[in-house]
Amino acid sequence: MSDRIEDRLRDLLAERAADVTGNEAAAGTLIRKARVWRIGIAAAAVVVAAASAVAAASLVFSPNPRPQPATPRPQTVATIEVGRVMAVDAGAGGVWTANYEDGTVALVDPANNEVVKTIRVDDELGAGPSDVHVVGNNVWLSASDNMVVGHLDPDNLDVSVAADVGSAGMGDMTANAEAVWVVAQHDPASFEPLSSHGTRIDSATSEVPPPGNEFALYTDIAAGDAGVWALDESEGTLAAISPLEGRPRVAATGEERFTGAQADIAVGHGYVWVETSNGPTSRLARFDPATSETRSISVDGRGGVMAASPDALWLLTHRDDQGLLWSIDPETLAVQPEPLTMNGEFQSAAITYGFGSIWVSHDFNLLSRIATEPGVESPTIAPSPDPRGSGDVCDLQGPWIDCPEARWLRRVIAEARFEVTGETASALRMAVGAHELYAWNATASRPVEDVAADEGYVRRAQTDAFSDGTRFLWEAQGLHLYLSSATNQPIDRLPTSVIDRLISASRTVAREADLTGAQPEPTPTTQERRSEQLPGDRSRVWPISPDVPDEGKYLFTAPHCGIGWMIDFDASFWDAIEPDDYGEGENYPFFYNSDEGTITFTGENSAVYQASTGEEILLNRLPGPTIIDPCE
Amino acid sequence: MKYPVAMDKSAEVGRRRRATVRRQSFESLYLTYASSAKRLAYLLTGSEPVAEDVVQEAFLRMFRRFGDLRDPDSFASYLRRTVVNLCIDVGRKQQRERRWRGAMAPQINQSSPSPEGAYETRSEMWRALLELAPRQRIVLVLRYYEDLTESQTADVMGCSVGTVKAYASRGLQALRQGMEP
Repeated sequence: MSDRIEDRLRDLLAERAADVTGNEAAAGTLIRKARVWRIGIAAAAVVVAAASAVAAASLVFSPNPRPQPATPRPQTVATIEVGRVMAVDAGAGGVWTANYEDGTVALVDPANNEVVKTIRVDDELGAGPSDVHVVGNNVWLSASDNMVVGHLDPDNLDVSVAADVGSAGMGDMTANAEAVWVVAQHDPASFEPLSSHGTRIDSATSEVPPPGNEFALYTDIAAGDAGVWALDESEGTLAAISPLEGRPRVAATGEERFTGAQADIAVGHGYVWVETSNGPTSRLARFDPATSETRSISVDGRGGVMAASPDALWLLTHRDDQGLLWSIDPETLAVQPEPLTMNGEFQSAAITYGFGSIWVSHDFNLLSRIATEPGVESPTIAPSPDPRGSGDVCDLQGPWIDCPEARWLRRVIAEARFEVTGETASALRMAVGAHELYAWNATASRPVEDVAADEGYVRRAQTDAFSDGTRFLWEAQGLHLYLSSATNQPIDRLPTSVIDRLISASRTVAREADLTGAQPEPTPTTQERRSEQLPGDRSRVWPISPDVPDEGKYLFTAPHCGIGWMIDFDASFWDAIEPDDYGEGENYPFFYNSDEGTITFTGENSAVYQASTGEEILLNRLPGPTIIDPCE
Repeated sequence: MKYPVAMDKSAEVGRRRRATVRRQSFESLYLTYASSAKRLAYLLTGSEPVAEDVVQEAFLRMFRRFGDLRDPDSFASYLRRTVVNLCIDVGRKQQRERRWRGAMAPQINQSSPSPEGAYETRSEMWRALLELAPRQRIVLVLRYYEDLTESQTADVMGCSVGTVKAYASRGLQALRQGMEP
């Protein structure tokens, strides 16, 4: 059978190839085209060099003069190799790229502009990811080759099929807090929908509603602050999609400004934005759902994709081998006169906004970060000297923030009396007065001086730290610690006292239990614990630990369900006092997991448990037996 | 530093001569390779107009980089890789937003499959080939039309030999299903 299909395939390919007409006559045309291209590029270079601002502004057509927006000129601060990227979105602590050709999703940490995780998803989803949308703590993936919506959990990086869209196939996808939305893929031969439906998938239950919640013909879909909107770019139809039923309400149809050979839709700043290209220029139309008014402008370049930041709408177009990033005032539609110009392949670019930056994928495998914060100087962020993440710092499979080292750094920041305001995949975000900083750590695999020398750091005389102008580096307790600005400001402007406090805290907050002087763990008096079954699967149990002198330090192994379940020590049970920041306990896993630490008496009926990771928890002695829930 | 006028003229003559040689060489390469490149692009995209566009774009890119080619003998390999990458790109665009769907539609016969499920005509098998995942189709075309080895195919596609084997296996399996009565 195998030979047969291969032979038939060979014959078929040879036959089909023989039908193709030759095109040798096109050689002259091609050479002329290439020369025109070269002349065009040369001319453009001259124009740009001579009067780039005037030239670019003249390419933007508008019926009336308009004021120029005050937004600053964006600046590329990093370019990262992420894999063969097809889509990008930001959220859940990082920037996520769908690498269709690779069958992976890459997670870029905005703290250091590095890929900190590459997650294989095609095994689970049956195909490479062609789109990604991050909403809250959910990463939604489109695996359109296999017609499924995938879900990636940022906490543990588990990948699963969230919904099978069915035989209609998958077109564009978007997501909001309530649902994931996909539109049917069109039959490439007939340009008609395979079946006229789009699909709403409940993001909580992954349920695909039965037919009835269908809408026809739409090709592009987007969600944002003005709701969920779908576009039929061939008919110029724009429709609002009801959030619960998924039914379209046509807001405009036959609108020439919504039609084009290429189109993109975005929702932001209370408007619906439609970009269409029918030639060398891109037309951007703004639809106001409140008034049904449409205004449009033209921008140089074609094939635009859009993203909304808090202050602007960003439109990326391309011409020849250049990408043009335009900043547009969402209210006045004023276009920043000079776009950010990037060289490379931008036909298949994707774009998103997050972490104070626009992120643009281009050249098939690159992701560029473009700083957009007003008034911010944007130094180039140097590559990190050490890899971070679970593979380096801890053995957990998930992100670095779940590692003991991340929890320790959180305590260091608290000890230095700063506030943790957020987290990324491999860094904590902290507020220091008017500054916003990222802090992270990595295993000190070699002396900090060597790293500093290799990476161009300079020792700061007044501190025990090194600076390369964009971040600080120092060593404490077998770890390298890093500090960088979360707003791309020069880190050297940070007051020295901040560094001093963090260095001091990093060298005093225990990273592990201090076993010095600890006595062996007392052996239980019996293996048979007396217990009494109570309703609701609960039990009343009696201690089996022996009496010990009420002073000094003892090794102690917390049971399978942690110190929050049971501490049997010194012939008594003990109550572990949850710290003020206990919350859901995510930073105190030894409350519900086994742990090996120490117990030190501080009084006859009080003690301190020091966990293996250095945290100290107050214990109070309980009288007599205690009642416990089952340990699962 | 300023050079004497004569030196400027000499330099200009040299540049023109090099440009002429380059143009002639490139035309020669185009005449040699364009047809085979177009056939490959057609098998990868299923559309002759798209194949023409792909080949034009591929040659434009090659022309821009022509002076940088360290080994002109490798032109065919570079061209093949460029064509494949462009076809992959076309497939990606087609998938994501159907932006090129007008130009990109494979010219495939819409006849329905035979009741037995087996390919009765080559056009049915051709349609099945075009409905494969893009990377599977590319591997099959490179292996069974271009007669590349698995290693050469992996090199063109920028992936591992294992990946090539997997795509080939899945692609053939999918085609094989259409042969089963």
